[in-house]
Amino acid sequence: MNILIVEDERIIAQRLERFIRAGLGSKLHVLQTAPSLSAARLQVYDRPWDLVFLDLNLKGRDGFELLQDAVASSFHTVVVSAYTDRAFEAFQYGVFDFIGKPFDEDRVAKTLNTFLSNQRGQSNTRTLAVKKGRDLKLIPLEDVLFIKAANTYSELHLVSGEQELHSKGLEQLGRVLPNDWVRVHKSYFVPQSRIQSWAAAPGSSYKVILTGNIEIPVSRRRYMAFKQTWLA
Amino acid sequence: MHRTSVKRIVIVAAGLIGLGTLLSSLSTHWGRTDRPERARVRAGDQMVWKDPAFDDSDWLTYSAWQRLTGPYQGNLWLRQPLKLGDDPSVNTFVLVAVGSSEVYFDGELIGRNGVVGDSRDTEVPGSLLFMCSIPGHLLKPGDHEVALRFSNHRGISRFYLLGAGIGSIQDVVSFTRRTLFPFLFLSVFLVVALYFFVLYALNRQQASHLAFASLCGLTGLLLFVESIRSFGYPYHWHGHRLYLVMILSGILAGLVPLFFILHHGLSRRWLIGIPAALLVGAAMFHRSLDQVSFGFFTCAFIYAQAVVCFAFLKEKTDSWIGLLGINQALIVLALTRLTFLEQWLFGCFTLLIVLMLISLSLQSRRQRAQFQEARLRSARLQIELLQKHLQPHFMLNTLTAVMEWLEREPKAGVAFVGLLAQEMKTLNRFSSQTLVSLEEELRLCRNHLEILAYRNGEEYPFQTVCENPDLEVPPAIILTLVENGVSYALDEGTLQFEMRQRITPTGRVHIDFKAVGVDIHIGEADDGTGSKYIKARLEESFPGRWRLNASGNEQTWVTNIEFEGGP
Repeated sequence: MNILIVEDERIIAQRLERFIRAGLGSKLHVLQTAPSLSAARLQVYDRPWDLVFLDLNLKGRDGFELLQDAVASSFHTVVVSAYTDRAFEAFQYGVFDFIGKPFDEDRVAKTLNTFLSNQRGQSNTRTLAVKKGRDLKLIPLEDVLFIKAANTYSELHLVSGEQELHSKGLEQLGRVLPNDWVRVHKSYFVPQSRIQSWAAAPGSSYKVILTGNIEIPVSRRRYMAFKQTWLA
Repeated sequence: MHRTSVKRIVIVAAGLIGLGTLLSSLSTHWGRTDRPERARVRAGDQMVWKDPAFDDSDWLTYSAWQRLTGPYQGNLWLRQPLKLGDDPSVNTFVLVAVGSSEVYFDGELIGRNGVVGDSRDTEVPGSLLFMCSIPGHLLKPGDHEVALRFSNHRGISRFYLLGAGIGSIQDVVSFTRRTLFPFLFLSVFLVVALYFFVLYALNRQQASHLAFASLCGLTGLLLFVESIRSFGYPYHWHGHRLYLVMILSGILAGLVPLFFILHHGLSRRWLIGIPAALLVGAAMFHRSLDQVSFGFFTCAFIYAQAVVCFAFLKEKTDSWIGLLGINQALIVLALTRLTFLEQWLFGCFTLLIVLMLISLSLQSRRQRAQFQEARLRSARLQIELLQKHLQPHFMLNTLTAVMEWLEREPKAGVAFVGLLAQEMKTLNRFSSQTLVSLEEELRLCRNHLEILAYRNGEEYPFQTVCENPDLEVPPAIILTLVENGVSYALDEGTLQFEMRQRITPTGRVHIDFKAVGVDIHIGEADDGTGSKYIKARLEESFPGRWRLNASGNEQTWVTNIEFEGGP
């Protein structure tokens, strides 16, 4: 696992490092610390990161812009901040977890475990940030009809008919989606609220029909699980 | 209309009014215009002079006699023809004169006021105001002769006949009622005076309150002394009363410009003009006590006009109210001239006092608002000072670092907690103060930098040079500069601080603060909470007497703070 820590206070960065090393042991591949924003911007392209621990308040300045940039990336972001009242906001942007300061070893271990066990994060995502060239575009999740895997990226199909590409793969993006988003297929995430009906298609394949008569394929395994949920 | 042209017009008008008043007072005819010129006077005492048939054609008229004689004490007679109409109710003879008297109507004695004597010892002083009824058998329509026998051995200065005439009882009663009317105002003046005396005594801050209280009190006193005439008193008090009136008038007149000088906070040099104006007034109108009083008011009002015009030009707050008050007084004075003292003075002063009161009330409302604002600001600054260190970024980052040190190196952790406690204690103490010594402030800064060293693992050198470390500065202003420096420290390289305190021979304190190794572009763009806090603190302790300059180049941020020593 590759982990980057963005933290300007050396002692706190060292503390995080200590806990991460202890928590991951041999699973840790690379652990680096960026003491400033400019350093972080360079290091972020060094290698494919899995997790970035981000202090939102570098040198007393608000790092929310940085946060939007981070959540649009392929890696997951864990915010480490003194401003616990900003946690709710951070979760809406799709951060994986939020660690309030001061923190202890157990708290960091919990985040790492959640991540390692492929569970969903704490997020309550309302908005997805998408990189468009050098700019960021913020897309309210309610405008998204469904999400489809596209190689290492994800395609966001919007209600308006447009499509946007998110840097996270479907697997990773799924981990920050709210619980009412269900994975109906290896390549599809749909929001439960948009499902109108489900149907068995000829040739023992299955599908769900979303509002606007959009048909999304459903895998058999997921159909069975889905049916149970649906009938329950 | 343009502001300056309005100003110019107002000043020119005020100047014309002042000049008009001066000319009007100079052209005034002194000597009583309503004096019965038929009255003839002769010094001495011969009983034949009571005879209506006596030929007094070689006697001098009253005004001629006054002019020639000047001050007089002794015996004298005054004869005056009188015409009675058909109205039988007109049967009362009224005499206002400065002497004991006997009244002869057509040669018949109809009234005695005191006892006329040939010396101080034989004379019994009569009342200034005397009335007697004319017996029925003498009340015949047609021409009559009144002869008045006087002695004024106890008189001061001149003999005065202030009035002699006939009327009905109703006339006399209504006259008396009219003269009592001013007493209604008396209590008002005294209560206002008392209020402002107490206000001044309790605060001892505004001399204008004392001047205003004296002005009200003296107006009341003068009113009393003027009106007491209608009660009647022994004639020889009259001279003393006139002196008293003159003295009170002089002080009262002088208080008018004094009040405006104090109220508008003009230079003390203006005060010299007050005695000068009074002297000029006395010199110009020196012929009688009444005239001197008149001269006092005329010259003092004209000088007050200059004072309020100056205040108006200097755009002093509410100076137009004073301008209004003085100009109404001047106009009334110019129009009424001689009768000013007797009839118009109090109306005029009442209006002036009301205007002054309005001006004072407006001022006190403003002061209250300012005071409130200052108090709010101080409270806000106190909170800001504490908040700075309770804010999560500082507090929780520090606590995280504390945890780390305690786990890694308990001894260092404990020392760290000690430093933190020290900073908290100092800030708590500072929060209730508006000034602290520079030495304490620097100790706080060093303490803070040590905390940061524990947090960041970096030392920040801080060099200080002080001429007088006991001199006071507002709390946490240098700390704020240090914090700003840390916030904008460059990502690479070391950060260091320098502070130098200089005191000029004139007592101005300069604090030059330098932060080396900062991102000056961010510092430039930021007029944020840091400098706002410093400015507010300086204004709180050195209102209007401070300066703050900040500039930066090549990773160095320089802040110069300058203020006059002593709050």
